Order: sequence, then structure tokens, then C-alpha cells
Amino acid sequence: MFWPVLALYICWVAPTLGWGFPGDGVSDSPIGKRIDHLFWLIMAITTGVFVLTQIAMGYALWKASTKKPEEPAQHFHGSHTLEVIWTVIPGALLLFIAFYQMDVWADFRLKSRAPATKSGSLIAEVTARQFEWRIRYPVPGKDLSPTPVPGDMYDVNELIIPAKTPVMIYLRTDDVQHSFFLPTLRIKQDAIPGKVIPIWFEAEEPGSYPLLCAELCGWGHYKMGGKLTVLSQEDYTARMQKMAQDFGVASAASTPAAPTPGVASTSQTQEGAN
Amino acid sequence: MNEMMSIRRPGLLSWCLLMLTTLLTGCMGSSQPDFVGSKRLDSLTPYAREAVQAVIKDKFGSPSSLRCPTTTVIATGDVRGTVALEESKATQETLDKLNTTSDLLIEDPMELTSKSIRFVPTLDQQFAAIEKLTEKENAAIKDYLAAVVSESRPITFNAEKTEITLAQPVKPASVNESEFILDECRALYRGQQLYMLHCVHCHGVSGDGNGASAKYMNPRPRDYRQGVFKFTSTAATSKASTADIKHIIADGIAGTYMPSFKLLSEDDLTSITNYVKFLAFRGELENRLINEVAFEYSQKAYDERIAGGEKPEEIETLFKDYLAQMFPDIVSSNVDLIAADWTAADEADSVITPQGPRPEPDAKSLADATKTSIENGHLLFLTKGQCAACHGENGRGDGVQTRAMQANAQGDMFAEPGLHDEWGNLTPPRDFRTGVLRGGRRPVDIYRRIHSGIKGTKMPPAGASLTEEEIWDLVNYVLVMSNSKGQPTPVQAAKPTTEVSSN
Repeated sequence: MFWPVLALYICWVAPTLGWGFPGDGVSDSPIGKRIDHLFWLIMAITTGVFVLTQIAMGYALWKASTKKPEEPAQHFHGSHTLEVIWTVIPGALLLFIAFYQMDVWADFRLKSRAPATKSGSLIAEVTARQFEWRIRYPVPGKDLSPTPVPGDMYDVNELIIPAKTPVMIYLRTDDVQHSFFLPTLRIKQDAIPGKVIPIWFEAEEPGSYPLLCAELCGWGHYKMGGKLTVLSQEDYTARMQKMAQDFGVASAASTPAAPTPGVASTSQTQEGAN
Repeated sequence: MNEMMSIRRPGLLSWCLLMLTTLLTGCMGSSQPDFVGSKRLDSLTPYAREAVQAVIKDKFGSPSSLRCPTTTVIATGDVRGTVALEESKATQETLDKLNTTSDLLIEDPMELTSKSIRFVPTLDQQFAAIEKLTEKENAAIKDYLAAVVSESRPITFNAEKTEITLAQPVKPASVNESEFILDECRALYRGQQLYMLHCVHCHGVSGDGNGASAKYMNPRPRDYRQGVFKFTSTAATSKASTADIKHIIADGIAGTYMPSFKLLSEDDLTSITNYVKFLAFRGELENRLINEVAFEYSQKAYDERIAGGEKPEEIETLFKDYLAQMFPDIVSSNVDLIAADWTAADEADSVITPQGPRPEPDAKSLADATKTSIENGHLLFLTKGQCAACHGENGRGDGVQTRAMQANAQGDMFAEPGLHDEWGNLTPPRDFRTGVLRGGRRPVDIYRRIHSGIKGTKMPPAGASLTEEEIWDLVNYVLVMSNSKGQPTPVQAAKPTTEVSSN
């Protein structure tokens, strides 16, 4: 009796203890909200199926145990109707789930469905390495080059994106397998050695969100944390311009041919990105 | 069979005994961490060694009781404060009442000023987050205030306001309003706490780069005890600035095991930086004192003096005189010298700041108008800058120097060929084609490394031999090389230079 009661109790209090969804329980990205919806839907279906099958099993046990011992056992060849029922109902449920989630899956994984394919939405390349995230940005106003070029800007452990805009990043790894995980945005993608994997997402509100590694990658896996900084469009532009100045690279907005100004101001600040 | 079973699984009794032993001895076995002295101490005569160790212990304490010889360079974060009396005049009525009930006779009503005494802390503004007083400190305040006003028996203590309310008023003359130190080295302990959490397993308790995981690492963790840090923004002869150390802690070093601690708060980063400087200071003073003493009292010098006809007692007497008369001044002057170096590094003019702008890699060189910037950079790389001697003609870090035998500062040859740093580790010159630049990727970072070299390594400062425009050309060439993994640079391929303008 103890264990079932404990299990029920834990199920009951888990959400209030923050054992459920990360953060405040509400996803910070549109796709995350749809994923959460799928989660709850599947949760409801499986709960219903679980309860009904348990009741059916309980009934069968009770029915069998109330038989008088002197009654002889009967042999029968099964019930065709019952078999059709318990095949068709789960089949229909599974098909429903399969079709229902397809749209979310496609928006999450098919690059052709990504809203962030227009120029300028590819904002950074994130390279995982034991045990940090190294980030490469293009010069503001330009598209990210697939390979590093002089003029790229670098940062570590802090990915900066604009709010309310679908953005895309390229995910790579320098060494072993890692996993790029934004728990509150419900974004998770493994980084595979030798592959460049595009990920797209959208953050709804400016703020700071955790970025974790979700693939055991070595002894320092636990501390492979970074942050996703979401800024309003104006703040984002300003921040990127400041970084461009820090790196002494001309942004596409200013005249590209002119020699880069801002070197003197760069040298005053130490705490810039390296 | 039974016997075998009992070997495989310990019985209940032996299990309990094992647990009991572990419980009783497990924690006792681990010793308190302590600062480890330099290996060079072993070269001194025993009493000289003891003298140096005693001074270091006296100046810096041990991990459990820190002390700091200077507050100009290292923020100790002592919590100081004064005692203030709240101004409130007692009425004649309460005075009469008091005089009848109290054993303390108050004659003049004006003498009676206050029923509450406040502790006013003055905290180090550098550490905003530790402005709140700890429980321990509040207890100390209470004790202190209680001691100040023992004659009138304090009754209540308000920790929020660090205020004590007295049962009876107190004479102002009985309160000592001078400043007192409530908590020593608070910032240092905070830094130590964080250091023990994040840094110690590589860098070691004493900052000797010899932590538990250090032996598995290549490159080895930094040994701070020389007071030398590699990646700085300061001139070749200067130390690292505080901002440099903090920057490395925050951003890590690409291509090494040094991770980024960007998620720590600004205050935590300041505290760790402060503690790292403390360890560096400790190590450097120790090294300097060993140098001072080693001249006449190293084991080798001692043996020579004995061979020269001096008696051991004579030498020891001489050393005692030296210790009593000269050594304290030597110690304090060394402390001052090290402190002055650190202070100078933090001054704005020690930071290397290029005056002019960097040309785009494919734009005309400002040093030689007949070439583009990277063409000139390439030429300088091979000729005047002498970069290729170590970094190789193609920037692969395979120059001739990497195959030559090298000697250390004492003139002894290293066992293996190649460039070694001040710590005696083999340090291959950067292979630019890996695309990893350890000291930072901003053009100005590269400029500074070419200008002032990399401290503690064989990378020399070129600021004196190259002009600013030439250094910018080299920076551009390095940038282009480190962005073309393995492929020949546009210059080597003798292609039109427009090829690099594709960024």
C-alpha cells in the first residue's frame, strides 16, 4: 500500500514542486507552446487509456476470482469482436497522434518549413566544445558565411538574438557529441561531429534564458552552461553594432570600403567579447 | 561453498564495522588545504628556508586564516565600522526614575544622551554583493556593542539596523567612537570560496597550476606564482592588468582547458580575480625572497663558504644578524615593488592602444602603399617581423626554432627540442591554420600580442621594431590565415587580392 500511495502523492505534488516543465511551466517560444500542447494531449490520451485498461483488468480479476472453485474451467477460442475492438481503438488513437503531431514536427525539423530562411535570419554559428559554447556572428547586416571569414565576431557562452523574430543558427561541435538545449524554449538538438545542423526558433519576450548541454559529453558536462540573451530589436541592433566596433569591423550599414573606425574606443574596453 | 559466499559478501557485522570505520575516519583523513611553498625553497639552507617560509606565512597566513600585506593591489574587503550614538535627550522625569531605580547614578541630564547605539559599517565599494552583513558579523557587532556599553546591560539588538537598544541610557564618554575592524579579509575569503569551487582542481590551492586534474592537461594550467600572465593588454614590461585577468576568467581561453565563467556574477568575477592576484602576489614575493637569500645562504653557497674556511656557526650567526637587521627592510621593499608593478599595470597608459585605424585586409597597406595590407603582412611575416622563424613559412607553427634545442633561464638545456615557456613547459608556436587564437580574436587583441609579445613565452614583443602600420598589416595577415583552414592564403596562391574581400 505504501508505494502506490507514495507514487500517487508524488504525481500530485510534482507540478507544484517544479518537477514538471522547465521554468514557469509556460514555454517562451511559439513552437514550444505547440509542443507543450502535444505533450498534454498525449498525456490525456495515455492517462485515459491507462485508467480504462486498469479498470478492465481489475474487472477481469474480480470476475475470475468470484467463480466457485468446483466449477470446471472452460475452453474457448477467443472473441473476434473483442479483438477487433482492442486493435481498432488503439490503432485509431495512434494514427490520430501520428497525423496530429505531423505539422509541429515538420515546422520544428523541416528546413523548407522554417520561417527563418530569409536573408539576415541566419544570425550565428554555435560551436560546442568541451565544455563551452563558442559563438560566431557575422558582421551586422551581412549573412553568416558557412566558413569563418575575417571580420566575423566571436563570443563565448552567450548567444544573443532579437525577440519576436524567427532566427536560425548553425550548430557544430569541435570534439564530441553535445546537445544544444534551450529548456524554456523547448529546443533541443544534438551537435554531431562533422555535421553542421541548422536550428530555428523564436523567443517571444526579451530576457535571459538558460542554455544547457543535454548530452553527456565528458567530466565537465554539468557546467557546460551558457545563456540565451533575447533583446528587443533596437537593443539587439545596438548590441551588435557595439560588438562590431569592439572587433573593429565595419558593419554593412556603414560604408564598407572605408577603413574601420573605432579602434581607439575598442582598446579602452577589456570586457568585450574576445 | 559457504566459505566462498562469505568472502563475496561481507556479513552484517563486518559491514557495520566497515561503515563505522568509514564514518569515524573518513573525514579525519583529509587534511586542511595549505599553501605549498615553491620547490626552489629546497635549494636554501634549512634556516634560510625557515626564515622565508615564516615571512610568507606571516604576510599571507594560511587558507584558513588569510592575511594580506597590501591593500593597494588586493582588496581585502575588511568590514570596518564605527559606533554611533543616536541623539535623543532624556527627560527629567525619566532621569529621576532612572536615578531611583538604577545603580548607575546620573547627575547631569545633558550627560545622558542615548538609549541606542548603532554600528555603522563601511564596506569596500568594489564588492556590492557582500554589502549585507552575515550572521556571524551581526553576532560580532552585538558582542562588540555589548562590550562597549557593558555598564548599562544591553537588552535588544536589531540586526537590520545593526542597532542596539539599551535598558538604560549611556554616557557618551563611555562609548569609543573610533573605527574598528569587524571582519578581516572578507572579500579575500569570498574569492577563496569561489576559487575553491571553480578553480582549485586545476590551478591548485596555492595557484601553482598543480591541482588534482592538472596532470591530465595539455597545456598545463597556469602557475600564478611568478606573477606572470600570458594574455594581457599591457606593455611588454608590465604585468597583467586586473581587467585582463578578469577578462580571461569571464571568457576563457579558446583551445585550452580554461573554460569561460561568464555566467558568474560581476561581483563573483571581481572576487575571484582579487584572490588570483593574492595568490600571484604570495608566490612572487616568495620567489623574490628566495632570490634574495639564495645569494649567500643557498645550500650551494653555504657549501662553498664552508669549503672556503668559514665555520658553520659563523655563517649561522651572520644569517641571524642579516635576518634581524636587513631582512625586514628587504621584505617590505619587495612587497612595495610588487605592489607598484601591479598598480602600474592598472593605469590607463600601460594599455597598448593603437592610434590609427586598421585597413581592411585587401585595402592598401598604410605602411607600404604599393602593396595591399595582407601582401605587406605576408612579407613582414617572412622578413622583418621574423615571425616565420617560429611560426613557419605557412603559419603552421613549424618554424626552424621548434626543432632547435633551447636552454632555460639558468642556461640548462631542455630535454626535448622546441620552444619552452618560463614555466618549463613545451609551448609550440601557434598554428594559425587551426583557426584557434588563444589570446582573443579581436584585431586589437592580435595587435597587442604582436606589439607586446606573450608574457612568459618566447613570443617576443615587436612593438619596438615594427611600426603601428606594419603591425596592422601583420594582424590582417594573421586574420586571413586563421580563417583559411589549411588552404593556401590568397597571397600564396598569387591570386588577385579581391578574393579575400568576400566577407
